[in-house]
Amino acid sequence: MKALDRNIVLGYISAFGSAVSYGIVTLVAQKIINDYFPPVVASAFSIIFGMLILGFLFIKDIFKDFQKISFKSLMWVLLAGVSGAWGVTFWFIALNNGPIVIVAPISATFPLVSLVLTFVFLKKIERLTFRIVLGSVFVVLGVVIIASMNN
Amino acid sequence: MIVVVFALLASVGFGTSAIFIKLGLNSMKSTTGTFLSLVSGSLILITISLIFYSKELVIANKTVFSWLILSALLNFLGGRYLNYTSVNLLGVARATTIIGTAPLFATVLAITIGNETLTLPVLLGTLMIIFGLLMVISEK
Repeated sequence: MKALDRNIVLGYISAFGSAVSYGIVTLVAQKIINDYFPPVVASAFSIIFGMLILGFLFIKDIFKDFQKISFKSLMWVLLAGVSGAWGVTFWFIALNNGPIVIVAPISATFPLVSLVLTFVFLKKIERLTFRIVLGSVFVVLGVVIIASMNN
Repeated sequence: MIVVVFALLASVGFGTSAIFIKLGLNSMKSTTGTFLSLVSGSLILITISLIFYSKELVIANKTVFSWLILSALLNFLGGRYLNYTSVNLLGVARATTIIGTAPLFATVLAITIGNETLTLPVLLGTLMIIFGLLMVISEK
């Protein structure tokens, strides 16, 4: 198999693996939040353990990368962490102020936000086609329907 | 109305994260990118927890500890690390669209393992997701 094909297959496996993990963790998080901690505290503990586990498992990669990492890349990655935490925090604030039946479908639209931002900021890196945009809209609509009905 | 604004801000946060990571993974592996994003994210969540929930920052027993480890493994090793890997390999648009289907997997689990039943809207939503995914995946 060509390296490019292999990367694409690996990319799809990773994306579906990530979706399955996020799907399962929703159920685990419900258990933790219902029985043990407020949501933000649960997230804080979870992220600390995640950092320790990843640091332990990939210490060689991390150490190697630190020797060649550019300041710009470092800033972008740190911002990715900040915006992820921003998302989680506002998700919980929204839940504190209203029903999940409103919050879940709206927050499920994040792939569309990514599409718009890709179009604006990643024009030179990534090609957006009509097919990808339409496919994303269908996926988001499907998720919004499921999220609305589940709650 | 305010709840809509907060939910939209959450969506913007999740959506923006993929753009930042795509820009950041130029000079590092996704393992390092995931680790560094956890460092900056944890600083924010720990600060919020210390300000608003300082009395609840105690892990009472081994059971709680086990649940938190499981949550961390699924959320950050399975979820975020694979998320960033796929954004790096497939691009933001395809990767976030696939990752956005996570509620479908939660629903499938709730139906197969839990006591929830398959309703017509859930079936309709599932078909729309599959159709959308086929469009995204079949694009060369």
